[in-house]
Amino acid sequence: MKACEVKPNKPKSKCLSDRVLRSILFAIMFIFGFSFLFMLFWMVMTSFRKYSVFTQDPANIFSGISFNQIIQNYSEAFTKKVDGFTLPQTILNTLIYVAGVTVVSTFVPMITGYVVAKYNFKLKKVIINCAVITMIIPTIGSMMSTYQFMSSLHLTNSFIGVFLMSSGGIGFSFLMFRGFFASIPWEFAESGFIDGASNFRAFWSIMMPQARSIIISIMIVSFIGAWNDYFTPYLYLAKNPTIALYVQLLSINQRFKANYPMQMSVLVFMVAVVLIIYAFFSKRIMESMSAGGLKG
Amino acid sequence: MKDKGQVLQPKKKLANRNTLFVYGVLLWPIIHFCVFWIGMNFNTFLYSFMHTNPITKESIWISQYEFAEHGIFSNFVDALQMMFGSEDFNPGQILNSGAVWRTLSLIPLSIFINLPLTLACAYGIYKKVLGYKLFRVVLFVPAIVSSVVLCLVFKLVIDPDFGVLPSLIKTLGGSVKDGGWLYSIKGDNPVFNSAWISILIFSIWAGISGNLIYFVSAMSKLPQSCFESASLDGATEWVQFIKIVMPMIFPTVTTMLITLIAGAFTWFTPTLLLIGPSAGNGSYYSTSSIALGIVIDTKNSTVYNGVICAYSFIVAAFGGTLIFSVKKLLEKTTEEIEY
Repeated sequence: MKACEVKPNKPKSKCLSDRVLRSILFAIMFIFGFSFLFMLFWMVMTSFRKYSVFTQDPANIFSGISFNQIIQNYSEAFTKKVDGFTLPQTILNTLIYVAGVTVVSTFVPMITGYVVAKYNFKLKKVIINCAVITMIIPTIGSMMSTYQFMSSLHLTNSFIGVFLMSSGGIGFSFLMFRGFFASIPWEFAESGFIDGASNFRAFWSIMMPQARSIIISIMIVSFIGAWNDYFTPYLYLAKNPTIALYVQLLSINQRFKANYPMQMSVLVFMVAVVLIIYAFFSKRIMESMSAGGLKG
Repeated sequence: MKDKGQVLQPKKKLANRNTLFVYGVLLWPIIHFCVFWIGMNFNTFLYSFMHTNPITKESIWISQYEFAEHGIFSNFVDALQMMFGSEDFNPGQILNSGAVWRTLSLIPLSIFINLPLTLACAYGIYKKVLGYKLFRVVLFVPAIVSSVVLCLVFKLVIDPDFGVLPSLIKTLGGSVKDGGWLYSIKGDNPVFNSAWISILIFSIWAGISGNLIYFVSAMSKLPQSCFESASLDGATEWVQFIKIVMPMIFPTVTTMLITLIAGAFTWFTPTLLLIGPSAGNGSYYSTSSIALGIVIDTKNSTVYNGVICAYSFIVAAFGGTLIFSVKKLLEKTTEEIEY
């Protein structure tokens, strides 16, 4: 490629190859970005349309829309029963699921990461290696054993069972917390010990508050992940469906599967929640997710 | 520090207290890991040598099973025949040889299409291409939106009767496949059929966001002085990408690459949602992946399936070896650059 000439005392001019590259990058980002925005826009507009008009003229996204129709579509979405469940019921299930999973999947890895980062003991390296191994080896087959195990304990279709499975302290979040606590000086805890604090008190009152930022970030990401999670409710909460599972049930229900405006109404609600959270906490979400992408 | 009424050496008491705290905290995570990772995987391995009667739910060693033709390894032989054997072995089984090839097809897709596109978007944001602030937000949307939403909207957009894309094609004088692009039948090519290709297109479309933030973050930490001196030397932005960005962020690329390869063996959600769990084996036959077959068997079975357990173990062994080898190869052939 021809090198770009830099003219002294003049703004650096973009040479042809840079312009071509930037055009290609812009085109790629535009294609994806436009498609994502179109998806959201189309979803919202479809949720506003009258079902009969939609089936007759699906491509005209502005037809069949009226204020009354919007009210009707969203009222139906919130009142109709799908496989015996209404949307408000699934929202309640989702809130219980999300709250429990968020708390256990944040707190347990946090205190585990703290202990591994700050204390020396025999199993330290073993635990770290185990966390890495769980991310490398694809153990899709353990799903069957886990399901049979939880069934034998009568913990399928139980929130307790799901919380139990989510309470593992050795995984990706553990590695993030370990890295974070390792960077906090131990002198903070030592000052607490001098004042008579126990190990747990030093963690709870001194070290954990310093991790407030990353805790909030991970909790937000866990919340979004649990809100969107389809697979775990599909296997373990079939009788207490969350909103993600409810949406899928709606799409295959014989009575509603052709009623796309109503389906889109539910999807709009589901997406609106995470988009609102994203709008308020985008920086924290970015920080949390990028904390795993270490230098280089 | 002296305890009341006792003459314990301070260091020993502190060591005891620390030990109690450390192992007290680690007790549950260790138990959880031993049960849900080691225990469950060992259980799967154990049942790969057993046969369970679906009616009586009694399990016996597979070598004692009257229809076992290969002794204790019968389940493994059956699993290998499912993977690579002819379709006649177990007609209608969605864990067929096509599932293996389709799963493996995800790996080059991830490496040669998904990864470069993600890098391109990340570099565009990093280099502040026109509209980069908007793209930085919009391109992240699929990462925070549920896969259920993405699948259902995608499915509707390409729906042959109501989808906007088929409508557009018909308006322009084109035609759409009968039943739509997500429709497949048993005789279709296992990999190059419209349903699987549609699912792959969805995976590319929805998969950009997942790794984008990691690359953007890694690039943001690069020292600007390198780019300034490169610009002064006349290096184009493409040359800067190849000679500066890629070497310096290669550890992140390696991590993402390994994640993508590992993800191929646990990938099933798009097929489950785009084809639908009520579709039946007919439609899954040409679109299933390894993980999907195992998920459906898990959901539908009331007892352990020894053949599926053996199948899972083979996948874990092969997948783990492949991923570990790739990791070691990349670590040996590349040098981490300190900055």
